[in-house]
Amino acid sequence: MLLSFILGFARVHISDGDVIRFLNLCKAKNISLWKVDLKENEASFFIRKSQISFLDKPKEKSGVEMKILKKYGLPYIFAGWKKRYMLLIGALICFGLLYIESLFIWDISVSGESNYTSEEIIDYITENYVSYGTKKSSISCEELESSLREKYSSLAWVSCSIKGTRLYISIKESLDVFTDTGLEVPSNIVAVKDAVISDIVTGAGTPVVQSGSEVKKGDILISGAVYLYDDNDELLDTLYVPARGVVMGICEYDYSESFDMEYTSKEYDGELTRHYSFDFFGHYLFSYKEKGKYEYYDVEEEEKKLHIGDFYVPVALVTTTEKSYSPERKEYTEDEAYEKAEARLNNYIGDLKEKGVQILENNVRISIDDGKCIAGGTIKTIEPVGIALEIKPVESDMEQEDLSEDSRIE
Amino acid sequence: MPDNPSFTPDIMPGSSRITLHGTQMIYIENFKAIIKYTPDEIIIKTGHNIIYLEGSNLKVDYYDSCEIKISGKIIIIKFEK
Repeated sequence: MLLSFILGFARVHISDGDVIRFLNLCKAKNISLWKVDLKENEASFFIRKSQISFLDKPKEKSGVEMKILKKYGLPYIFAGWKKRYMLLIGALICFGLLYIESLFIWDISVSGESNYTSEEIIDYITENYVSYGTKKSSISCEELESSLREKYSSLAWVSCSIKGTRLYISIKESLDVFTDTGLEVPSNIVAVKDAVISDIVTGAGTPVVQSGSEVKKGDILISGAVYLYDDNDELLDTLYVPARGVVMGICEYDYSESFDMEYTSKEYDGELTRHYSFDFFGHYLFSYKEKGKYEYYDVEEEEKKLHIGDFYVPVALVTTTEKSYSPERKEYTEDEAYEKAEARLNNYIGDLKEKGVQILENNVRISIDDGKCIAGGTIKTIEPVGIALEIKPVESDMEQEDLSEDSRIE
Repeated sequence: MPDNPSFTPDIMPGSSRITLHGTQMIYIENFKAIIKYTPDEIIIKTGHNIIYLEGSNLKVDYYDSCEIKISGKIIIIKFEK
């Protein structure tokens, strides 16, 4: 069957003559037929394409009417394409372009971010390292990883990989460093912000500060240098170890937020218009231009990059939606204003708590003055303030003298 | 040679070989011509015999210069010199 498909075959119908004689003449001429369906004075059968021309003699002798019902197989398919050679050329060009396009990066995805936004990381990467359309073979993931680590010092872990035409950046921010000071090389634990130390537990290394000490950002809290003294209190040797421990500090956050009591409310009337365009290599095709259909309207733009799995193409479908609304001037009541300010404050505190921060005091006051709702004050927190930082060789012998004082590394 | 028991008679010129698969399928090698072909009866001429096949839904699946394959419900096979 496969061979017949490759060589081509057809379904032929014969009628009005001596059908049996036709079949016998075919046999005599070594013509192979199959699926012979014989009814009264008519028959249909399959025959190879190469043997169709041999049917003329049997047809003449038996006096049958012959009709090719349907043609099957590759030769007929290719014959059909001959008429559409431009389509074939187009398909070949399309495959060629897709292949060329697959050699470049057309999308960057960032996952695992919390303090940083994926947009800022993507902006940094596209501006400094891999812009859209960079050849995949020219990208060194190791180099990109170290470049990101250098730029974003609080990244605990960065991994880059390329799948299809997409560059994946997976990051882990260093919140965990407070509890998992996982550096294996000699390191200090240093303060990440200004704080008053409330509690310090040293696992390895020499504590430099104690409860109640005021520290500035960058001060060493637990030193990775361990000093060995002899019986006369003279320094014998200094060992450098990865400092470990948990240092909790009391920090203060300034909070200030305000908004006008009067505001414009948008009453959407449900009318909207959508426009579609294509972003092709950064250029808009059929781009949308404002027509001024509505007097007041919001414009929303949604961009969907076209892709099959991880195979992204440099074409995006852009949907622009105009939503009509009627503006209405309104004013918050005092209760509404307090509620809104409190909601914003709670949101801010919620973000802090997500980072492992405990709230000690909330001294934020909300007031309404001169047409504005103002929330301001300080929030006192207790939180881990230590982060592991590798000891640089130049520090080595200075440690002893600096132990009792704050030593800033920044 | 025909008397030699090591050889089967189908090596003789003009003789045919018939292979029957149950009552559903029959192969006839070295056939000469189709004499009659209806869903109930097919008559095949071979070098030495005329073979009558009777049954229902009889159909020629395939044939070429030396072999024919017939399928359907075969009830009677008769031979005539």
